Amino acid sequence: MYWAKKLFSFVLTSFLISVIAFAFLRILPSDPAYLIASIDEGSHFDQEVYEFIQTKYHFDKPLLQQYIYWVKGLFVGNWGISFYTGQKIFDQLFSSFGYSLQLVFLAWIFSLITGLFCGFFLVITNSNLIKFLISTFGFLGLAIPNFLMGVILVLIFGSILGWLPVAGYRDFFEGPMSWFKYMILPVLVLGSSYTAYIMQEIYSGLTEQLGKNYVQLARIKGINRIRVILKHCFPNVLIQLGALSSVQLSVLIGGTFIVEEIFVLPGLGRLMIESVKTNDYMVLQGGILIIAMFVLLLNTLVDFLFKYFDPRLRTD
Amino acid sequence: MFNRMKSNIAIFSCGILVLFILIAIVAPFIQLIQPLEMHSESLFMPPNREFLLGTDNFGRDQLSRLIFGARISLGVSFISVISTIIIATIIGSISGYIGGITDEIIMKIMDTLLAFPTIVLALGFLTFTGGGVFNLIVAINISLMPWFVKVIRAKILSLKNNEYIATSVALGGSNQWIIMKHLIPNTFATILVLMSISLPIAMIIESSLSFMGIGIKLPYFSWGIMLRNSLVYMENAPWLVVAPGVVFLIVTMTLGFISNFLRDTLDPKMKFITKFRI
Repeated sequence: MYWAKKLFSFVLTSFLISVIAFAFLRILPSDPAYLIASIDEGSHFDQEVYEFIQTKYHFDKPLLQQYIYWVKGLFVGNWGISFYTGQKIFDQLFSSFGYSLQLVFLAWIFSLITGLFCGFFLVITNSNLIKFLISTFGFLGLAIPNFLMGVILVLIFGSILGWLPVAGYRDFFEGPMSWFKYMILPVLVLGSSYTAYIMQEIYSGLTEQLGKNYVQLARIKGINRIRVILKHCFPNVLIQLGALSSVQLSVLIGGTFIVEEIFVLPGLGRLMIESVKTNDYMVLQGGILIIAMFVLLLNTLVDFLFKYFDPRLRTD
Repeated sequence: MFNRMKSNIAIFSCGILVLFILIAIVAPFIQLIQPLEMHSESLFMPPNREFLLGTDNFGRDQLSRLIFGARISLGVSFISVISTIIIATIIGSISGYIGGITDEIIMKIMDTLLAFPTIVLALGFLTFTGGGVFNLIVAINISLMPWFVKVIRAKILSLKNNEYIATSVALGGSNQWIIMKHLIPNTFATILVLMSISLPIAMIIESSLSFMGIGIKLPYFSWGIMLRNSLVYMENAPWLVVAPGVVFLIVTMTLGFISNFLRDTLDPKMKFITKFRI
């Protein structure tokens, strides 16, 4: 019963997401078919093209029918054709989404490692200087917005020191070394804010757990402090981390927009920004849908895993 | 000792922020080089006596652009946060107090909005409505709304079971009376903390959108637009990047100090909201 309710909630949310993505194209102040028909030629407007687009994308039908056609098209992979590049929107979106995922994944790994390390270190260490340094870094990581961090790093490592390339992308299979050089700054920028989150979460979670009775008992039994932290406290903190992952995931994916724009990476965020500039509305609509559905799917998955392994969480 | 230092830093930050706001307000009334005035004979001037922070690619004075840019950067974020708070307080308190099916519907909508990353929602809305300052404010409203509603609803839920609410119900208080008279005044501390935390966030959303070239259009401009425009000339004219970057950093950090202090003193349990950012 519990899982059935969760499944229903998932279906309902994805339906609402599709309605919002659908509604975006319809809140345009003017007729979408008209706008699309007059993209290429500037002010020139072709009646034939207009009518063709109207019938092809069913803009002349009532809204409800339009929605049904649109959703049907989504399921069979018929997402339409980009009016700017002439490619299939489906292929375009998913190939660039791969690059974004790669970036998100690397940033996630990077921040997980550094965040866990810094968080542990903050709890274990006795040196006030190190504590001060790490927490200042954490504060800066949260206070500096991604685009400013990107600009600062590019200015330092790209322009002044000249160690790393300023922007661009190389494929991994062309040469792992150059790929690494091109990816290091984007990953650093995207991961830095997430690192601060994880660090904060680990620190506050561990200090809370350390005050509990079971820790005292373990300490009295003679287990050393680091072992208690790793073996007894950490699993409890892990649940808190997981509960917040939904927020952090959408933070990371939202961050790719800025990072891809600064470093000129061929990802989904950049594709969507480009499509905004060229008025390629259907690409943008598809991108919005993909991102929202991806976030929803992952959140549901994480939610499911945590609740499956820890039945205590199964109460609302 | 530590708390004393924290409060001193917060007061100092408040002072800096007020100074910035005052400069932004009085900017049109003082004799300055106009921000859109182009000096074609002095392009890319490094900081000098005439142009204190140098000039950009059109020969426009960087300092006056910073001051006038503050009007948009600060103004948009203040207005959008305040309007979001007003709307979210109404929605959140109705959802929390009345509960039942109303609550479920509102929360479902908010959960759906949460599936969209902040910047994606704002980007989509802005593109399809066609930009401009007003649409930008609405876009920030929409992207901040679910967080605000969730926090205020949680606060209302925790207040709802107090005895004075039950007494008021017993005395015949209507829902509207109870919400306006008893519940909302008790959420003021939360609202204040929420406001101070979300101000830098609204600023970051605004400047990120401007940075991507969406949102504010000429003749308006903000710090984000200045940063974006100067990024191309970074190698030859680094002062164009440094000035808006430093100002932006100062403002976000002062706001960060203030919100940290407010949260620690007013509502130490409020952790959830600090976890969101774009």
